[in-house]
Amino acid sequence: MTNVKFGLLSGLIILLLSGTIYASAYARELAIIANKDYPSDSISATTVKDIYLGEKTSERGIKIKPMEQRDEEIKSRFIERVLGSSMDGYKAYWIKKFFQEGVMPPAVKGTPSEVLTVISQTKGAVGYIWIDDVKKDSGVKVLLKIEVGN
Amino acid sequence: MIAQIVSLLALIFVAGLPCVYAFEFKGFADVSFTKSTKDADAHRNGDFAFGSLDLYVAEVVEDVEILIETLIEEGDELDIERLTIGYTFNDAAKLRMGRFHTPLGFWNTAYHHGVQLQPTIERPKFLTFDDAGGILPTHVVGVNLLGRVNTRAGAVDYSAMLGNGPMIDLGKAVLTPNNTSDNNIGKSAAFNVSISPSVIAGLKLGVSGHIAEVTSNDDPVTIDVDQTIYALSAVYTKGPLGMAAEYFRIEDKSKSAGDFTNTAYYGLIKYSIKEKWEPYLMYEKLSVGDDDPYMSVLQAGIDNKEMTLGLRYNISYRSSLKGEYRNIIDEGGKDWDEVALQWALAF
Repeated sequence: MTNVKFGLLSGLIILLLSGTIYASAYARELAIIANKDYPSDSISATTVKDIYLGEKTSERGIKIKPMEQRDEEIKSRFIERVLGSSMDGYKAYWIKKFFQEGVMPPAVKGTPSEVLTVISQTKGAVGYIWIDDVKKDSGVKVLLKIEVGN
Repeated sequence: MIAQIVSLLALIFVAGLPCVYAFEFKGFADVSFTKSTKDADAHRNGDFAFGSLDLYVAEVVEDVEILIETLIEEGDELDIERLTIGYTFNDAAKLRMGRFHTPLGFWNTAYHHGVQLQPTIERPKFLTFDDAGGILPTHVVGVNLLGRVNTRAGAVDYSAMLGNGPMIDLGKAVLTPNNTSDNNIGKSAAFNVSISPSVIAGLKLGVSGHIAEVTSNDDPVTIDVDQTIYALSAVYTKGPLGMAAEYFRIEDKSKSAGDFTNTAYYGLIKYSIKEKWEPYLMYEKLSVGDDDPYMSVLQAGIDNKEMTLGLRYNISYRSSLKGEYRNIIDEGGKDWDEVALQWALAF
């Protein structure tokens, strides 16, 4: 009886562990990307947050131009996991920020390829994209990779 | 009235120009209902009121920033509330010139005239706008340098300004920021510094100061005050909990009547439930120095104690309904109650 209990318990632990490993193996990753001329090769999650909340607008003399995705899935994942806000909270924040200070909210772009194209052609441009959509010849550099769950 | 309509139509026309620098108007609007137990108080006797229509544009034109905020109050008064032209050198240095909100305390520059943004239906009485009989110079025309510096201790926001000093318009019994010229040689200066300490996320502590020579617009001048204002503010937001408190000390040195000290403060606590429901409680108090000539001509310049208990319901992130019960005690200990409802919208 004890052996049966032990076996069941071991099986359960293995199942849980394998589930965790499976989940982390397949957790989706966002890439924070920037124009090739962006004056830094890496960025912290805190700085990304500051950029998308309009608190950081320049880097070593270059004006930062953040880009937003129109696709709701990636946008909500970015806002919730990276910025730590709800979608409505984020929208309300930008109403207030724009009204208070006249700081422009991030420009919205339609498709991942459009985001890549605009960022590759715009000095100071920063954006986010699924890591799978970043190609070697896309003319952007990856500053940070962030896991955002499944 | 015709001139105001023409101005508004011109603004709308400019906003609609199909060119590369076409401006997009955004705005706020609100309607309210207020019932007071105080006798014959205008707009509060069980009345519906069109509160305000706030229209604003902000744009960057060849790296130069422009912000215009216009307000139509009480159905027919069109005012330019803010008009600034500016340039951002970097996050630590932004220059603005024009008419803006005086960097005093927290509330005055956080919510401006955007009623939907503020937690309560009305501002605390002592923060009433200058053109509505308020005691503080809430608007100023001048130059403003502001920015943010990140330090090890936390983010430090600063704002410093130099502008025309306010004037008391005795005809209207209001403070005016002297939009086009100063009525005396004394300029007003103000600063506001706040820190968001790294060790306590969500906390922001601020200190402000303002000096000005304030004179009345009669001849000979009957009110001439050297005024110093000090303000402290503390704001804390942690998840659904929000708290704010401000303390003001207004020192008036009158050349003819002597020195006076006035103090004011409010404390506010609110709690958000699923970003939809938000009960809140605010207490405010203004203590006015006896016979202060500056305070005596301004509508809000009387002792006042007020307790506000309210509930806000966010229909969406753009629209909210607020319901309030207020208990008010003013000079002489007169005590009355008010209930108010407001529907506010950001568009």
